[in-house]
Amino acid sequence: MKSSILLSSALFALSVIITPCALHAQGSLTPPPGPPAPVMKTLDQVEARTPLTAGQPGVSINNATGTITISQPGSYYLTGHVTVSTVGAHGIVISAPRVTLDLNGFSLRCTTVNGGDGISYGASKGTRIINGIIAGAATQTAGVFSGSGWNRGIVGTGGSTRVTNVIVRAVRGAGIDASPANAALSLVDRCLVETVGGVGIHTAGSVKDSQALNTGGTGIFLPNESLGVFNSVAQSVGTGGSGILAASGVVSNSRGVCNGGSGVQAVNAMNVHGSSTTGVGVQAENTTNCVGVSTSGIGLRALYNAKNCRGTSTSNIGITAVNAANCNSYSASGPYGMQVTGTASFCTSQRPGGVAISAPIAIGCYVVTADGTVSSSRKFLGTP
Amino acid sequence: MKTSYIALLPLLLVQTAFAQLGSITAPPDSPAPQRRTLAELQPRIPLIVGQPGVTFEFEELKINQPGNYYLTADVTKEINIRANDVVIDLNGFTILFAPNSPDRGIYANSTRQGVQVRNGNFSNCGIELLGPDAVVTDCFVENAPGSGIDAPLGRVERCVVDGTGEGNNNLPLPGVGIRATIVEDCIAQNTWLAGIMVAVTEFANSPHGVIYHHQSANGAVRRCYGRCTGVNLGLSGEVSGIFADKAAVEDSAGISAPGSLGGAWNAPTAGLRGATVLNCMGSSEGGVGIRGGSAQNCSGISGNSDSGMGVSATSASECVGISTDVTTGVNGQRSYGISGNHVMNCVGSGTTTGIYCTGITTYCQATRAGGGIAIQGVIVTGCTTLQGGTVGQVEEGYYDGVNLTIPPIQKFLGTL
Repeated sequence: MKSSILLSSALFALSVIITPCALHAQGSLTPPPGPPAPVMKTLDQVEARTPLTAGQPGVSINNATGTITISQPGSYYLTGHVTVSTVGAHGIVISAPRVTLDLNGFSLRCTTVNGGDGISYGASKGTRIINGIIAGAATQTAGVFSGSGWNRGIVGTGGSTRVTNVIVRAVRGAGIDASPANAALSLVDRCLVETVGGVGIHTAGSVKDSQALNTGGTGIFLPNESLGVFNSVAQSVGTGGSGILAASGVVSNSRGVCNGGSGVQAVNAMNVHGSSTTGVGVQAENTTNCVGVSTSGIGLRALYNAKNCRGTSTSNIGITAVNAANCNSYSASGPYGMQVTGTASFCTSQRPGGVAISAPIAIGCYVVTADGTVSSSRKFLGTP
Repeated sequence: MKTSYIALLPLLLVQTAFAQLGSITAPPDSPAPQRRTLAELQPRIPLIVGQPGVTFEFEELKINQPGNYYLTADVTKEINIRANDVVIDLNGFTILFAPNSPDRGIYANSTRQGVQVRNGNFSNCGIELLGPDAVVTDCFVENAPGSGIDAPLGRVERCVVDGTGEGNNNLPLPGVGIRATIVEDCIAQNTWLAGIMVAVTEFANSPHGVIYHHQSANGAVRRCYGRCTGVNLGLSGEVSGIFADKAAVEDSAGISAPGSLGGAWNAPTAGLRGATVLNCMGSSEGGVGIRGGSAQNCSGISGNSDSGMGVSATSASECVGISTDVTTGVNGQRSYGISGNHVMNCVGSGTTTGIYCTGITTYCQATRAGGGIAIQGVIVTGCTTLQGGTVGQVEEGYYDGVNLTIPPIQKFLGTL
């Protein structure tokens, strides 16, 4: 009796537990119409790109140093953080053209004193690097860089390179050095470079929506045969670098700050702010809606034309230009507030106790302080 | 007594079992899935024969249904799109052909609407999406035998084209770098025809047997670089660095390199041509540096050509134009730093004259190499000259194809 009660009790309890599972629906048994189509994807189809792991085609990893080498064209991605701690070793070396490298949000870190480069793509053309972090341990104090980590963040000369959504931080040399040897221009877009001992971003082509801050060399440097810098900010803390140096390009909606070079230098500048301690604040052939500031250099130097601009300097000229229109300048103790070799029209300037405006023709110009003068043989429309 | 305890055992067992299972109260909704299927992980369609909508016919991969497709490896066959609203993610891979192939990498005819291509490379082939609303982004094209990216009614962003060819039997037109309605953040260089061509919707053969253009739409070019190294085939501006007569062009640079020789002086090849041109650079060895309806904050340089104008614009302000043509005067050739109808706050230097203006010239400076008439104008206000240059009358009443009645010159506000 006892046994049967116990058994029945156990069966009852078991049925209570099992029954709900058995009641789940199992789906229709009617097959769908038409011939069966391939409905399954293999894992290789779901993620067709090549992970940067040992044994994958085109990928080799140096066990001693940890350097990853990509030797075939293709599309690759990181599957985790990479740390290199061997002197002189690179993080990733690309030795084939048309490689797309997705860092996949992961980081390349270097913990040794004299590391190699974070990513080196040599002469490989058409490289694309996106979406990750390259970090060392360099530091900066009073413009002097020290510390360990990568030599450079990204470096190569292959051309037609595109670098997007990449952060390079605390490397000893250049942040992104993608200047091509073959005049195949490149694009750098939405990148952040911070605390690097060399040039922040160096590329022939264009830089857009990017920042290069706390750099030992020029913040953003575009060599000859380039397009320009747009919507970007650069700050050089070294002694001789410029903020943004695009001597053969255009710059717009950007800001450059430095100590010894030009805050911003370009062929044409528009909506630009440049500041330098000893160099020129903004220098370009034509400047519109620009502000240039310098302590001992020229505030704003338009090699040809300036319009709607402001230039200030403590001990130098506020604005120099061939023609200046609707501009405002200030110099505390420089030779002139504004020096124009053509026509100054509808400008205001301030140079206490000195020549506020010097121009062959001055039209509708105004001196802010009474003790400033206008030096011109042809004054019109109220110019004092 | 023992029996009563034993009778309670089933209840105890049930209670224990439920305690282990948690509450017996069902959640208000159906059970949520705990795992993702592969189809959920990658809902797009791999571009593999046999997948829904993908077939292989006549040596082409064909996409026959709207959908979102992606490459799983490099491809060596043309992809022919035969449906609307197709998105192809190249997934970082390359469409790779042998040099001078007769095929396009991806092709969609003019009836295919809303085709998008992104994120990959094309080697020895280009992209041709002829229908409306096409979009091409984040692509690299090298050594296309014809055009690099041809999406005349579409938008192209963040692409690089390096090298287009003179065409072949299947690609009869020489290669434009990028042709679209809106082009942003792109580079096109070493191209046979224009580096970047915007709002050009039709090619045709002229009576002279050469290619010319027909502009019929508006467009925009922003932050682009076009460099054409081809040889001019005919009359007009098809070998310009950027050729966008109906478009707004800003923050861009166009170069027509030495191989690109200019055409007639009033319809020239240019480094950069646009309807409105803002903050740009243009350079042409064989034509006009910058040619626009209006140009502001621009630099234009013209080299040794028979149509040398640094900047040619109806309205120009804050521009510098330099023309260094040394053959001026031969066959009516002229070399103006800047030519226009309203020129304000500009600097011009040329070997014929520095600034040639059929309307009002204001607050400018000009130089004519070797002295002579530095500014030719009608009303000249507040202007200066260098090298002993003078200010004189416009020599003829002709501008931009229109005969003008030119009154005697008037000088104001310090113009000498």
